[in-house]
Amino acid sequence: MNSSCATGETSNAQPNPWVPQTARIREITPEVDNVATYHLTLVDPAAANAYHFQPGQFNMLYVPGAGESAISMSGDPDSPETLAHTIRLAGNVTKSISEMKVGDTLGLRGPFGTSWPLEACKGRDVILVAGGIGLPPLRPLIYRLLAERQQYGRLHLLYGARSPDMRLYTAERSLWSERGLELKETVDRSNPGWLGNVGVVPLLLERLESFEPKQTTMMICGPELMMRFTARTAMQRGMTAEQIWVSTERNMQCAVGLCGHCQLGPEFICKDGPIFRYDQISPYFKVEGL
Amino acid sequence: MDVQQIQQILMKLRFTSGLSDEDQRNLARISHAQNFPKGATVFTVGSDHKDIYVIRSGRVEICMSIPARGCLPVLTLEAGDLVGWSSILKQGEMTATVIAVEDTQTIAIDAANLSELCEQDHDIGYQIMRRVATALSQRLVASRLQVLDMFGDVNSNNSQIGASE
Repeated sequence: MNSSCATGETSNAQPNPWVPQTARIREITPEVDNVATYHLTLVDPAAANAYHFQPGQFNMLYVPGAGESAISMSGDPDSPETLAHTIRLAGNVTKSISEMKVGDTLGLRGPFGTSWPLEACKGRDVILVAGGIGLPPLRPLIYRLLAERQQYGRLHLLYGARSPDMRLYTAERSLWSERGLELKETVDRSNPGWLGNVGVVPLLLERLESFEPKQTTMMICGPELMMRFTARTAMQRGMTAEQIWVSTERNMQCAVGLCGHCQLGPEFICKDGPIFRYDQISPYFKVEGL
Repeated sequence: MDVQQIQQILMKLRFTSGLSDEDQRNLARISHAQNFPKGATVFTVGSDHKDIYVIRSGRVEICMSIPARGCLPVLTLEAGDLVGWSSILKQGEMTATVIAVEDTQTIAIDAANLSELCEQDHDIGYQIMRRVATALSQRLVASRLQVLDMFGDVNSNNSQIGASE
């Protein structure tokens, strides 16, 4: 790891990170088209008891014959007995998982990677910005922020989705709002009957009122381009890159920083990330081919 | 609503905040309050419209008409946003239809008088055109991101740490 790089907080992975634990699918919650949340339980009780994760970390999910894929946790970090992963059908591994049923088993390694910088948020306003399937990696953070609600200032969630029917966790949002999360959302493409906002998510930030740039920490998760333009808007409104954190993604393979597949500049996304402070990782976002 | 009341409102709106007192007073003199109930049409594509608007409250949608598909919303605008930039740039007919999706309060500014004001006083002209350019650049960037269909991209390597759908 580049010692100068500000990354998120790190917590311990399982004792042997190479050995997958067997996990059983306890429940499947369909979310939107081609997206579902898989609630997993580790079969070995000792492993289940020892398992803890921090918001922003990920697991490697392994399907024999299909391969392994890095998937962020999307459940409550304070209820680790059930490990929720919200997965979009996107390739061989996720296609295999999408064909599984309750009771089926798969391999799980983790948790890996750095987490969102909760300690740095205490006493400050927090703005979470999510785009598309970037909301699941922020959901554990939402649970934690709301569980410790009195320790933070204003909490905002700005969420952009492709279309109204692709918005995630719609049933749960009112509970978040009741507990003090101010939600604004928008869609890139409207459907008939949609009366909400239309436009990209950086515009929500542009219009956000009661915004104190110097008192705010921002955490962004979504497509890289969306994160870049959201961070740009934040800085135009007076925030600095040091107040902004992003979740990055590359081709994760080993998940422990050995194979180099996920290298971005000097960083291994799997080990030094996926959570980075924006000033440290943004130069590599602009390099074509990285 | 008198000039002073309109000036007080302009001071608070994102598009016009930061202008000098004198500039805001001059702007208020060529402005009036105008409300649009939910569902009302602010202007239609192809029309020749004489006002531009700064939204005080509520929300409007910009729609583009496509044959057989109707008028599709491409962007919503809310408090502080500029509506009807074609009028101030003297670009002729309006490029889109704008409909109020909520009860909406605006400050309507006479575009011909605003153009004249900008011609006579280049200081306010610069300030107004800088704000128009900023609003248009934000919409240009937003349109580019919409065209890219970012959330439709599928990452073939499967991983879903944060970005790919």
